[in-house]
Amino acid sequence: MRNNLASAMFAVSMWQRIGAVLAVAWLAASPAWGAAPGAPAPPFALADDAGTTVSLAALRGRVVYVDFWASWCTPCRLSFPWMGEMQRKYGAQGFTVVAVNVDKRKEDAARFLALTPGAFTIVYDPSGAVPAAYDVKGMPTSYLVDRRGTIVSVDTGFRDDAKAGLEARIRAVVEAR
Amino acid sequence: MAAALALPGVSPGASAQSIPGEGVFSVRYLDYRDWQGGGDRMRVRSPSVFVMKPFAGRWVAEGGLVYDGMSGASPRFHNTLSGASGEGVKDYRTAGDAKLTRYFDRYALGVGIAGSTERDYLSKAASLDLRWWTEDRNTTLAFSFAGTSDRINSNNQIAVNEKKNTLDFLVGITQAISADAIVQSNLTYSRGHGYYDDPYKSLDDRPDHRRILAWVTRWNQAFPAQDATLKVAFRVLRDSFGSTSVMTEAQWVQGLPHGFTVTPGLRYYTQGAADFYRAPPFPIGFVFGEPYTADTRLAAFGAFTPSLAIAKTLADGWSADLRVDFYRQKGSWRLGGDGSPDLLPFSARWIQGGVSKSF
Amino acid sequence: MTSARNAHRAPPAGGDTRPRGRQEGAGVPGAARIAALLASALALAGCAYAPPKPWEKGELAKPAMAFDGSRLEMRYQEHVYQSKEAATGGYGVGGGGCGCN
Repeated sequence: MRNNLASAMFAVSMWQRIGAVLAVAWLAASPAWGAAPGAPAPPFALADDAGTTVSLAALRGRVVYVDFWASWCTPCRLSFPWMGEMQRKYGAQGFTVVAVNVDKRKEDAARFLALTPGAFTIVYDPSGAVPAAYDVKGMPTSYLVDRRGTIVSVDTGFRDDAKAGLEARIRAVVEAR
Repeated sequence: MAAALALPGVSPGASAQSIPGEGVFSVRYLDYRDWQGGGDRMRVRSPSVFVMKPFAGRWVAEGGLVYDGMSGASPRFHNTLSGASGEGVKDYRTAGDAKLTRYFDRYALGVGIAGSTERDYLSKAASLDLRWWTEDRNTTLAFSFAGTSDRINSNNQIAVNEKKNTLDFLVGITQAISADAIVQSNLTYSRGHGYYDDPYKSLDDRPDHRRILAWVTRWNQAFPAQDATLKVAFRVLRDSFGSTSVMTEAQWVQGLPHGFTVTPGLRYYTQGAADFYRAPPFPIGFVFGEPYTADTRLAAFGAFTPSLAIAKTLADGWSADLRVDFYRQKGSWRLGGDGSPDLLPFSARWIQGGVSKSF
Repeated sequence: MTSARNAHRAPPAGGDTRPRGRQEGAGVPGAARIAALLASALALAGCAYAPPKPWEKGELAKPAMAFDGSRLEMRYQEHVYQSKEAATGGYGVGGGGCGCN
């Protein structure tokens, strides 16, 4: 038990470290204006609940919706069901939602997920290195990344009245060849 | 004689720089009682409701209603020099307000109305407020403006259709200074004109205008390791009636298992007397035709309020809380000078409880 | 009249014949000291000034950190104090929160 816990903690901190290294590397190589539309999406490799590493590089060729969220973010409660719906609708066409949790403590995220389950990929970055690399401006912030790994659009905040526009953009990117 | 709300309609509700994710419905009940010397004096029971609901993506509507039912010996007679007192009195007050806020990417604009009515006092107010925040949302600037119009018709025909008009201005800054601390500082200026007398007190004659300048600073500090929050507030206020007051307050919000919090608090307040306050029953220095009051609210004193609150949050959006305050006021507790002589120590206690549901 | 919370105190039973002239309303000499104290507290805060990143606002988003937690509670408090003290108000607008959009 104790060993499992220790190795789990090691795994997290290892991924934190990898994330941080990748982020720093990207920051050094990227222009000052950060993750804006037209720029390459900063790479990341983060662990999900099962301990499996999810990396952006491995998703190359798919359209990826990178969403930064936190347990304490109230608009995130609105975005979760919607992201699940998008995953269900467009997954078969090569669309993947990756929700990056930024909580310091994983228990807080677990409590949120118990009430608001997410039917898509969820990874954890308690170090904050990846949101820093993406220059996240608020919670939630989402980045729509095309099949070549380029950021198409950035959206900060989530409101019900913005859903239709977001979905139209996703559809356009998914259908673009 | 006080208007329904301090800065009517500008009461806060929606969070500063973001659209609330969900609505809130709250009901609350207050039971107030005060006494002086031997006997019980007034008792007030006051239920209230509040609803806040975001809609259409960028809008928030909110509104509240309060009802006060009072019983006991009327203070108005208590305080007249004639000494008539002890008459059983029942009175009521109903107050309500509504506010609509539109959120934009970097600012929010709100308009509000408020009103209150009692047998002898009618108050109407309108307000406008603008909040602007930096892109990182760590700094919020607030500008508020409110106008209030009051109409007074005392039951004893001393005040007949008297009016009072007040303008309130507020500038404020809220700054997140670290991941664990946030500070807010507000400057308010109020300028009023009209009927300030108390028609139920003999010879009461106050200036027909009043200017108030107040500076409030509040600091909230989280202690994540202790699962606690320290909340500190400080206010200095200067009034053209001649009184300066200082208020300071601290609360410790302690998190406990199972969603409970317990919050002990302590408040200290001290004020100097108004220039025209003269202690009864023989007001030395009273000159007929010059401003005069024996209203103990304008005397010099100090006051302490210890309080204790318990709250419980449930996972499905419900929360409930209970709070008790005990207030004690004494002339000798004034800071930086003597208190008004002849003030009898005055005590009050109030208990309030409420239930809220997010939706 | 306003609510009974506007409770005014009864005049004391007579007998005291000490002169009761006007009292200085303005004098709160402690105010300067308190202001100095507050200024040093703010200076201290200046040293600790490290504004949070948008993903570091978990603590600030907690209900206890809000300046205007329960509006009804605040209103009761203000109303009670307004009935027994000369000073009132000074609050008015909110702040804090999760800094979400």
